[in-house]
Amino acid sequence: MRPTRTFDFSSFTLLLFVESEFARQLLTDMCRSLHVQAVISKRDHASAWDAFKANPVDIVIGDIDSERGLQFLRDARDIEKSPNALVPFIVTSIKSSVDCVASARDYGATEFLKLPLSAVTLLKRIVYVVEQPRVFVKVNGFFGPDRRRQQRTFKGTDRRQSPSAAADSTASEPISGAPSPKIERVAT
Amino acid sequence: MTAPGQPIFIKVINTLKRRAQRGRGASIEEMCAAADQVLSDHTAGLRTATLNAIAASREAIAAWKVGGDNAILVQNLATMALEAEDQGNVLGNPLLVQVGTRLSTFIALFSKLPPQSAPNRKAIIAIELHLDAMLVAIDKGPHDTIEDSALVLLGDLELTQRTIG
Repeated sequence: MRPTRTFDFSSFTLLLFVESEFARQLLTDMCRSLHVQAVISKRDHASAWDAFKANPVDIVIGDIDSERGLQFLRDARDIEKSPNALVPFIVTSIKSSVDCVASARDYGATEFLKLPLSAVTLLKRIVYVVEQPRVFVKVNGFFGPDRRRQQRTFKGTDRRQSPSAAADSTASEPISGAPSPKIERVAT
Repeated sequence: MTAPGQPIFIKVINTLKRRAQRGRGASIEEMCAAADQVLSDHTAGLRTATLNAIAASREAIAAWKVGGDNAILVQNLATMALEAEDQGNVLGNPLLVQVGTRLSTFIALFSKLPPQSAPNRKAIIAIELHLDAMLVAIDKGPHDTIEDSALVLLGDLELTQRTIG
């Protein structure tokens, strides 16, 4: 039998940015029931941003159904101004269309939590960001978690061409996987 | 040096995992049960809060009937409609969301009336129908899909709005 896993979230600082008063209170109470001691809940962008700058936030849960919510996510991932651009950011939304999930991902969301709320899904998302931290990627104006959750070996001919490879048309040997990227290590 | 356009990967050193395993903690099952309990408490509290809001709205309607300011009624109902939508979305009550949305649309018509305009009997009936529909939605509790009988109810609200609007 698989042993029961235990977690101690008591040292975590969680920032909630949710405009709906009902949702904010419910999420605050649910997070406290998971023994998160420091739950900072804010309803507007300015106060949420101040709290984000003033506290060592471990996880952000933000509602992206409004433009202000998306802006907060965008600001949080802005390397120039964010105090912690690598923070795990769980977005909540009543929409689950491909477009909505894609825009959350493009703005740098770590996990997507579709409303209505359930205890299991909330806990799953938190456990996931704790146990499976995503590698971040900075490329062509995007900064956020790497969209690929799995690293698979590519089978077949790699037909992608970098500028240098395009110039060197002799590079026709099959290449397995992507070119070695630059990897940095950062502690949060 | 990284070539322009080449991705830079940043591996985040995971301190959360270490910290989450530092103390004795609670099991996944215990935490899930505790969070579920919070959700149930809020769902139960929602019923009481909605009943209170409906009672307050009925009082505002009564005041309007005897010449009260319709701006107060509009404010009261608009807030309630918005909260109903919010709560329905968060707790999984699509019928409540639909009733809230319809009430919001209907109330938007009222906001265009002058503050001391005379009460309209048909409009009051329509508002009360929305309040009754809200009670039906609350009594249904959380659900995934709107069933046929509820669709009939929503259709009636739509028809009332079109007739009066």
